[in-house]
Amino acid sequence: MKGWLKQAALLMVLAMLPALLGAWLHPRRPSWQSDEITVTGAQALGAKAIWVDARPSAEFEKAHVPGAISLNEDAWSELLPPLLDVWSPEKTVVVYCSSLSCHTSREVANRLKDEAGLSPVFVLQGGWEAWKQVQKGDK
Amino acid sequence: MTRKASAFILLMVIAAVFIAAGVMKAWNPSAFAEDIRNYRLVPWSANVVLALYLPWLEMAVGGALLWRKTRGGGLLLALGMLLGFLLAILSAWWRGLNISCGCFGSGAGSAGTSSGLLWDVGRDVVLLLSVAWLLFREAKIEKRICEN
Repeated sequence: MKGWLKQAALLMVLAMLPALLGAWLHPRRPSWQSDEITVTGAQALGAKAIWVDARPSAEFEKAHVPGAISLNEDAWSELLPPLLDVWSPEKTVVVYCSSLSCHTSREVANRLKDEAGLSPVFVLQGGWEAWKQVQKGDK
Repeated sequence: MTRKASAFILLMVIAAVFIAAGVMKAWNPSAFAEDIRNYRLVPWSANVVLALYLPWLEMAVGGALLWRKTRGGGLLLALGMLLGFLLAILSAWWRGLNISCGCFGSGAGSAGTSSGLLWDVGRDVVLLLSVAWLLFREAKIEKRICEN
């Protein structure tokens, strides 16, 4: 058993070497900077923030962050131009979807970065649910 | 089929699973980091470290299982990793997170459906039990060698 523990420790150390090389040289290495932003962090951006609602249009119609622009993948080509009209390089795009477990905000954020070439683009941590929670707390 | 032959085949299958899973994740650590983030267990910087490290650890474990002298250590690590993954996926399910397991690189796996999640958990439990059996067998063999 002691020998096995030694082997396991050696394997763990061995795996570190290519991992370190990957952190330095891998063409698809992840960025150390997270692309997520908290509600308070996004609110602190003030007028610099462009809020993008990645939920389905019906949900956007019901309620959304004040001033948010609807942009979802179902109507991408129709909804993208209004965002590009208000965007400028000094603005920060904050994309949100329903909650922590939804993925559409990330997909929209990735498309905004890759296809539209916008930067910086952040994903709102916790999405619309988190935004509502913070509003409740402020009242 | 003898018990020895079944153990050997099982070992080869597990080694292949670990190596394949590691290679697929090492191909795109960026996407794997996103998969780990979906579990919402650790901060982003830790996700990055895990995304760069875990694929290579999986490959090292898979390789160790193929070699008689390192099999015990490889099985021990495999058991720990499978247990860790099982706990992570169960905790995500408990918290109601809609995730893809990311077991074989990004986009592969459950894609957040409950049947997919059941499949991921089932596969992990089968692998876990197999590794536990092989570890137990390996301990018996080692004991026998020491006694003689």
